[in-house]
Amino acid sequence: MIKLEHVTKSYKRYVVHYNTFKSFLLNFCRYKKETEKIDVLNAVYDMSLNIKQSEILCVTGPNGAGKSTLAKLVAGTIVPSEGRVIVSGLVVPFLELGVAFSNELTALDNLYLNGTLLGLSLRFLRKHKCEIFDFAEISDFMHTPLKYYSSGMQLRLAFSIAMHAKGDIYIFDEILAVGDASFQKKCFRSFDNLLAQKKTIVIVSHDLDFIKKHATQVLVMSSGKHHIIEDVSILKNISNMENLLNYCSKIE
Amino acid sequence: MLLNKKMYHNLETLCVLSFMDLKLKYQSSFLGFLWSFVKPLLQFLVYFSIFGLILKITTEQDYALKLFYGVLIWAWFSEATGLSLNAYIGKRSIISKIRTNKLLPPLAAYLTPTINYCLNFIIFILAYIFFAKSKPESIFAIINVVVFVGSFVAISLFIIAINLILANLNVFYRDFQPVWELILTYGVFLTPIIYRLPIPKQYQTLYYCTNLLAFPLQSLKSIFFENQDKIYCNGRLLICYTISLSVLFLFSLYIYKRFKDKIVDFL
Repeated sequence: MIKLEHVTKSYKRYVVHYNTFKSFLLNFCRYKKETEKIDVLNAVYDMSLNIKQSEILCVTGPNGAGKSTLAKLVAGTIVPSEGRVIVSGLVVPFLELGVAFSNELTALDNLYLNGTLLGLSLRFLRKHKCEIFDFAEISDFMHTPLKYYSSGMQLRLAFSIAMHAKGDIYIFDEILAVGDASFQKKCFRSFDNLLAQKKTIVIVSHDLDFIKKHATQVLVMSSGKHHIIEDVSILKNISNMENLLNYCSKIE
Repeated sequence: MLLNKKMYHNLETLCVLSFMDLKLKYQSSFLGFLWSFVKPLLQFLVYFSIFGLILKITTEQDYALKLFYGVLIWAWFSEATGLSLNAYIGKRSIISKIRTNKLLPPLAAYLTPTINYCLNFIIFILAYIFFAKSKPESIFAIINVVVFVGSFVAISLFIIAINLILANLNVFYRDFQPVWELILTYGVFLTPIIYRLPIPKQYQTLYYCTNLLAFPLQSLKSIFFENQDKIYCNGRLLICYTISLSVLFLFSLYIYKRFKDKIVDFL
């Protein structure tokens, strides 16, 4: 279950480098005043949302609308400036694959590092390491340093680790399938498995057809505003993103 | 039960982070893991050749061993605090993309050099057994064991406190690294590592309460060597030191709590 209560996330619009100790010391007296003067940008503004278990929320909208910020808020990597985000259950974020990967370490070491950071226990990782490498189709390269991996192989390993994390909530920020065509099919099959297991899913996507097919709720974000579509059947008559944004602005 | 499970997982993640950091640090260097033993030894040789052989600043017994032990503790402190400066910045991708306990990176920066220190301590003990001339008779007395463990805990708390402050500060003020390097350069000469500092008695409390590494370091030396000031016997000094360390530790926790939710926005 995910609940957002009047959530606002704002960032300061820094125009010059502000983060030096020297500037802090030199401008000590007016540092706070000057900091307060900096303009603020609301990436997410006063958003209230309730996503129940096994629901699929698709988040869409133009670039810079705050979709990734929302994904990070739900993932718990950032905290809201105002309001509350309540999440119950283990969250598996697909915000960026292989974030903890180190090129100098072997793939197995990276499995342990990334896996534990995603919430998996070492015991589980040791027990299922072969399964994870088999899924990624790179079993022969378990002890190879990651620097010798192709980018596709790295993504496959990262996807495989994340898919083995037994989460309750999955967040996909435009990453649903990686690798070549056959591996992508495998990724989609894994996604279908998550749907079958009634997992709660948040997906950031620009693909309207995908949204129409899977969403139980749609959140449209644009220019600091947001609109929640609970009845997804109305999307049938909307053919592209522009029409969707027009539809949302008309309702307002 | 849930809390215990979470704590256990955090501990596991901390161990994996530290182990991988250690692996990364040494696998790319020519001497590999041996470098962790060679580095303080080389540092000791530099200080010993200049201050012990050329300048002859002291004629006291076991000067080389005392210097070596001081260098080990200083290497532990300077390496751990140095690593903490990049604890968040260096793990930017992890912190901004995966929900992690923000205490883990500064703690991992402490744990990795601590493992090094423990391994180096074995070398010191071997050298001590074979070469020390001024061994106290009651080295295994209960008070010595208490002081030994207490000093280790005090240094650990001091490092963790500094790590929490530095890791957060360096996110907001990226030019803090050279400032800290300057402090370390002064610190090595203002801590009883190379020589005994002639601190007048009336300033001893002030000195040991501002240089929080000096008190446990001096206490540890007094366990292993004769004719060292047993400063831990001075009750007033011990209380003042404990208060100073507690204040610093609480301040570091305040800094951590104040900034832990903001650092991702500034990474």
